[in-house]
Amino acid sequence: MTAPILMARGLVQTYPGRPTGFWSRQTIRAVDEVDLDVSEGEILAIVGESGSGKTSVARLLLNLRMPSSGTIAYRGVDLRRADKRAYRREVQAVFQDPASSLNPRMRVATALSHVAVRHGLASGADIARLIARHLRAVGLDPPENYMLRFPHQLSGGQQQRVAIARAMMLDPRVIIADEPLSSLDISVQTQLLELMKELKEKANVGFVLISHDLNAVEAIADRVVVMYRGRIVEAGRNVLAKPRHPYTRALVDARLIPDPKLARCKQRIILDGDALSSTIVGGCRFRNRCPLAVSVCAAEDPPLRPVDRDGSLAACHLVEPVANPFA
Amino acid sequence: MTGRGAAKAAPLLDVRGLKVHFSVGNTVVRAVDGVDIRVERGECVGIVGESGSGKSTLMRAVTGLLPNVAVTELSGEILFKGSDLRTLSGRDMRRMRGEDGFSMVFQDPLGYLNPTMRIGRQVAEALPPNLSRAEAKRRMYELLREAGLPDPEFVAKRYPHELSGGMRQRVAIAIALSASPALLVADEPTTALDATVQLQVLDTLKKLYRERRMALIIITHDLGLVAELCDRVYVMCRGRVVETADTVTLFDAPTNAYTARLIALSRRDGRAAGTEALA
Repeated sequence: MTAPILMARGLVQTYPGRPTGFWSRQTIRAVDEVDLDVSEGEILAIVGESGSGKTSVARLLLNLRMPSSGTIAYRGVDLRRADKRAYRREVQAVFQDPASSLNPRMRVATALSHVAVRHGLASGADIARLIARHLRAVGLDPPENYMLRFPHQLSGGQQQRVAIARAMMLDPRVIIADEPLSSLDISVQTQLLELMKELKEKANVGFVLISHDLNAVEAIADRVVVMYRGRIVEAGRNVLAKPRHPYTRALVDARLIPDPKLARCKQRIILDGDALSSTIVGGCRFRNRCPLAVSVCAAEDPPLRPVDRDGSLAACHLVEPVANPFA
Repeated sequence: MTGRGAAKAAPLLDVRGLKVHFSVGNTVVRAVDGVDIRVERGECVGIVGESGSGKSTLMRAVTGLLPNVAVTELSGEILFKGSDLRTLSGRDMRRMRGEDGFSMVFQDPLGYLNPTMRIGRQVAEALPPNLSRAEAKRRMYELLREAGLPDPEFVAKRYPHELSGGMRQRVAIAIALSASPALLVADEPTTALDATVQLQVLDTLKKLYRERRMALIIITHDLGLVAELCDRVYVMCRGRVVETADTVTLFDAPTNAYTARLIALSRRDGRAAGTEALA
């Protein structure tokens, strides 16, 4: 296991919320004291409901926004001092809706050649060769069939492949993918997951995969981080197989089971409301929806602490911490 | 369960040999190509397929919501309570969308809720016009509560953008229920929602169709949703129904290769499914 290439410490992102008086406004802490490490060749998944802050984290990691406080270090250098152009090159993005992240008036080849020219990757006839190679690498083969098409002439899965090819052209070390699967059919999802796995293994690319689809995440993630209202509530390698935090358990429980016999006899915890429906001050922020909440949950905000020798972390008063996780 | 006497023989909805073809440029797209579907009263039926399988077009044709601009062929019979919807006048069709008729819920409620109107008025608007103001208000609150919104007085005063996705979908369900439909068609009702909220809405739909003895058609790409909810399933691929069975049989022993692949994929069973594209 290599040292993390991307390290975030104490990330906080606040947004102005609704007014509370004539002069005052609520402050929404969309991301609240988040620490994250991303290594090369690792798929780190961030899961959570809408409003949990996962997309805000992605935007911070992509340097599309400056955090309200906290630091991001890339290869050990604080991003505020780092070479932004190198960072842009090595940390790439793939977004949810491929149709809107591709210029509708540009053919695939044109869009990709812009990247090549802007970053001086190739010139002249080499550009076409470079583009062809990358299209083939993401499974658009033969590339000639796709290069002259406009985005609307491609299916959703093909569009997403073009977006991945564009990201891969710069030979990035990390790709931040914000819900790259959610608008796609399940067979296409499976293919893209395979592609990500392949890129991870062959090109040693690290992925930050943001998703609400636990089944997809479970299939490929090396490590999973569960977020709730801006906080990391659980993190580790076996989070989905062995959830400890009641919120993670509820999320795992909420997966629909494609088997009628199992689905209908399963006893589930159905959470009330959603992550955004109320604001709570002090204590654990999950307590109003938590089926297990006790009095200490209202009094103290649980810290994220080691709960297993495999390095899993959880932020819940009811999960026993391990005293010396590395013993 | 199916109703009285003679009505027992005839299903609530009986679609026979429905074809919907569009012209796109010079080619004809056979979006729906000879589909038969039967739904009994009080039954929950799933229509599954990937994007482009024709599942939404099918139900849009049935509910009369098809834009007729590019439609080159629309044939077959759509019998609802015995009368062919395709031959009805605009006025009779409107009646079909009322009491004991059918109504719809779509994927994105924000797209069809009026952004400038408070929720309460939008729900009340769908109620029969002859009700008194007080009675309409009472029914409106009742509908919102039935759709799983525990605080209807609060919700009724909001605008659509002030509600979460799950709440908006519940408002859409309340509006759909206002005419006490015999059939509710839900097109990807939970796709845009979080897993936890999806489960809540699922629970509400389950309760509603049992309590109201309403027939429910769920159009979805998600086999999990079908497994949880439906009595019977139609699997669509490229405009045709490739398999139909009751839910348990379909999942236990799919007879069609496409269905089997779809089930394996949804269980993330990579080896059984292979990785090449389906359709």
